[in-house]
Amino acid sequence: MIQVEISDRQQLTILEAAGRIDSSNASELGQALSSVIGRGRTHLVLDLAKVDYMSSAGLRELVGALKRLQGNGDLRLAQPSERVLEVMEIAGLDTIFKIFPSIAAAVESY
Amino acid sequence: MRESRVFAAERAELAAAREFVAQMGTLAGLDAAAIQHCELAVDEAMSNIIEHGYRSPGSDQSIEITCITSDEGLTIIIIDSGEAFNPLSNPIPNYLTPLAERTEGGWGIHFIRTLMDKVQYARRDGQNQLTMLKHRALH
Repeated sequence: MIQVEISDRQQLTILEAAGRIDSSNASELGQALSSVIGRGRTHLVLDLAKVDYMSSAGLRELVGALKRLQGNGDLRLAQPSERVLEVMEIAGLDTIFKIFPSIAAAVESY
Repeated sequence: MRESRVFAAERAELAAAREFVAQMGTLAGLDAAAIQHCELAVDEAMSNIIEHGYRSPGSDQSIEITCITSDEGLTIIIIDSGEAFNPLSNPIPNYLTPLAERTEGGWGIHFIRTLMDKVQYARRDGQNQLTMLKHRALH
């Protein structure tokens, strides 16, 4: 089980994920992202501070959401742990996503 | 030390398999980063077996994981009775491909090859056998 808390701040939506994300639960993250995008929210920040593990299944959900947004808004990542950042780098996704050291920096980047 | 566990080929078993490997990694003297590399490699290998190897219903849908600790580090052997599949024959993902044209697959096997120090595949007695070694860091 993972938890995803969603909060709207003016034109931004912040999603705070918590848990260890693998192929048994990554779809929960994907569904949260889809539901937010589905109600027309396009400027997203995903807070990964409480995600201390992510397999390729989680990465697939992030890329799927980013593809849905292409050209219309963005999905920006905040506070990934060293381990999560490492898997993003190995997958070559650190150059595809904009990654920030804090929520504030991710919010201000829009 | 050599220890084996048999897990049902179900995604709900991933956390227990990772925990087993993490415990054995600790006994093998791996550091925290190396242990997480082993957890990820086992997670990705198991997920592949569940998704591809055991696609069709069968009687023995289990995955056996054996961990061997040694002076070198931790050796992990994953055995399944699913369809023959050599993960090492998969192409390495091309990172220069634009996002829209990327297929979101192949990362798992790429993680295994990148994070583990030695990876070997064999098909023996109708079973897939993936052997991975993670070295203990030299201090």
